[in-house]
Amino acid sequence: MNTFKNFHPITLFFYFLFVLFISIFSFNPLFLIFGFFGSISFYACISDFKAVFKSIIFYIILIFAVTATNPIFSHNGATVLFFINDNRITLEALIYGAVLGLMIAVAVIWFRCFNLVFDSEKILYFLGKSFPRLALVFSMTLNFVPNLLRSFKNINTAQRLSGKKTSRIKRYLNSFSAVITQSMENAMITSDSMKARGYGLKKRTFYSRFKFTFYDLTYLAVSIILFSLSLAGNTSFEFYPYFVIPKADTLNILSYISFLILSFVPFLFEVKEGAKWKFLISKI
Amino acid sequence: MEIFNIKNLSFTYNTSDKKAVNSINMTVSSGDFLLVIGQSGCGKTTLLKMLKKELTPFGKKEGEIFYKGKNIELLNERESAQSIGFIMQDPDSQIVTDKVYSELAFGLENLGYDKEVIRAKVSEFASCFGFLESFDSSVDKLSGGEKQMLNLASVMALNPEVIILDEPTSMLDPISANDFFSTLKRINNDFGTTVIISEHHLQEVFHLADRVVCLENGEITALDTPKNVCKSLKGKKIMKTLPAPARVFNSVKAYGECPITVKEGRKMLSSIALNRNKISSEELKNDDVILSCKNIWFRYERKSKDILKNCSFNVNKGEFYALLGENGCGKSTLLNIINGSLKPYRGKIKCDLKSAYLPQNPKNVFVKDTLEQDFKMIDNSYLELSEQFGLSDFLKTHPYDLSGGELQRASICKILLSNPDILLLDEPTKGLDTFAKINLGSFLKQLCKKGLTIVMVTHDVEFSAEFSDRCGLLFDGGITSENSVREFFSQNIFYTTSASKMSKGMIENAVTADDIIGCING
Repeated sequence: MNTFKNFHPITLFFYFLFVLFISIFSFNPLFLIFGFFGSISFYACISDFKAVFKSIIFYIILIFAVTATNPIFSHNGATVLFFINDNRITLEALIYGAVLGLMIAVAVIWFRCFNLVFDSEKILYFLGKSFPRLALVFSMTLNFVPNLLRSFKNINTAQRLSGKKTSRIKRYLNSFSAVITQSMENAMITSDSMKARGYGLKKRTFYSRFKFTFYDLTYLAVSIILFSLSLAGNTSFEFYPYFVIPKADTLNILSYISFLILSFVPFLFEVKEGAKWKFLISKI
Repeated sequence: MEIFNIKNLSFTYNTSDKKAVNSINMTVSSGDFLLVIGQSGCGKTTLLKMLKKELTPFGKKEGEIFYKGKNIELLNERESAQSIGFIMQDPDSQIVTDKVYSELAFGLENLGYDKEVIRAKVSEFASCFGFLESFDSSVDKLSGGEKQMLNLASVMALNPEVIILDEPTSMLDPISANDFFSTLKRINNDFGTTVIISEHHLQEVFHLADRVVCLENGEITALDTPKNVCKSLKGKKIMKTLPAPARVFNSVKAYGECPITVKEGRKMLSSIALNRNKISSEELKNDDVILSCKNIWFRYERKSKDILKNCSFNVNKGEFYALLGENGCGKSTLLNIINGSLKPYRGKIKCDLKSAYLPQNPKNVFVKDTLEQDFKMIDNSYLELSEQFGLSDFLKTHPYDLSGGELQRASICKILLSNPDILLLDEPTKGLDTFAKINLGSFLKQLCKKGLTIVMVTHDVEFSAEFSDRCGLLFDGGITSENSVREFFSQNIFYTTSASKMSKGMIENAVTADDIIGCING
């Protein structure tokens, strides 16, 4: 079940824009930790659990790798831990590396979620709004590629069984040139079919199945408010030469809480819908 | 009201001196179901394409076409796109976008309709044509028949006055083709949409038409109701393409209306005297097995369903074996197991001799720019064989420029250059017209006589009834019935030729129209 996906593309797009923006530019460990758990719990909801478990291991390795690498190249920082070949390894650089690793991991996980939520139809919606023709090209490509692969496979099989043994590379090259010729032939038919249905007339519109409802608007508004509040505090961290941890005043705490909620919104939404569904079922 | 009025229309392609369409005069009224018949190259496609301004080929046009009293040249683009729909042969290439719903919306988007209007129309036509389940799925998940239905639906979404179809079912299996025709008839009846269709395979569509026009060398030779057209074509070559009952009617002494359905054919047959009521079935003596499959089990993936279950069959030397069955019953899979592309997980295949495989699309056999180069890839001594195949004149031609029948012949020629003993054919009659089929069939028979063994997978019951020696029916992963061709078809009730259906209970063992004619005339 993936109900978060059913929001309007605009709402979804802005949500991902906000969380990615803060994850990438805030460089605040607390924000990143919220983001990490928020994104991974949502990712676990929308994809298969086994895959998520495997990917967590990958992210942890990634974070460690970046943590270990950063001090080797960056020698800033006041707290020297030890020397390697006369190079200073500092605590600050080590922590900076950890935060950097976390940031990369969080960004990657959010992008994965984005990929699962934003299917070709939603991408087309964005293109189609402003560039209807580009959207059509995109959609045609999505249709063309599977066709091309299928005919390549068919031609290659036919060549393999044609009675004469040839080297694999030679066969692939032959099949490739044949598949290009065939698709050019087919493109003529496609263009006739487009002309016959009025392609090229002025004022082409774009059809999408999405409707921007009050629900989408509310959700978008909530995201915007949480995003602005997250940015409101003075939460920037300084690493070099010493750590400067931002003060825990009311505004900053408000920022942290806002971002915590923002990060967990998709996960909470899935949980809420799941619970609702169970509740409804139990009533039947 | 008349939709099309064609006045003295002629057309010559730039590349030839001969007129492809020659002084045609006819009118098409609103709500007509008009069937255009004729041999390949008779000008059917040219005529149909000229009715749609955007698709008119390059060349010299004489005469005029009026759409609702307006010269078609003066029709504005919007009106033409909206009111005249056009559907071509190839189901795949006509589809433009990647999803079912976006394909349905494509024409409406071009015409600049509002989102809300498009939404309403798309939903209406998706339910009318049965696309509710697959509404948001990718187009490449659809079968060939569904793709062609999608093409029809997306043209119909524009609510045209007339739809023109150029051999729309030639790439479909018989059941999808039948579905397509009944949908077409429903459109014609329910919406009053005018239908102009050209077809090779007339069995299923002939009785649906209000009027039939027959073209020969670009000229009209007959234009009347189906029954009258059948009568007036008596003795002409095109007769061979007509439904079996009509063929029988024209070859014997019968009176009254010409029958065009099996039902009418049975009525006619019961009213005339038969000279014989039995055809003796010849025994197949040959039992020199050269290919045997024993208890084959096959599935594509570890956890998927079995496609073949305990499937066994033998093929004898010099035999033309036809393997029939519905879509997705595993026919092509079995052929791929025989040719070695797939391996069964249980069972044995015994085949000591060399086999060659011809895929469904004969184009896939060719990868070079001329036939000659392609033949040279296999063997340099191609001259003799290509002459036998009647291809000497085409050696410098690009394979894609050959006609359907020629291409099929050329592909068999290329495959045979490697000197195989067994020829494996996957749907060799797909997309061929009746005459090309007859040529191909007699040609394959000759090859069998010379000692070649042929295993053919097909949907085409009429073709196998006429040319093969033995037939098997594949169902539920195994061969459920297998017999010599005459016994096979005369024992089947549904899975058989229309001639056999027509003569069931009256003439024993008759499977082709010629059998029936022979029995009547003695």
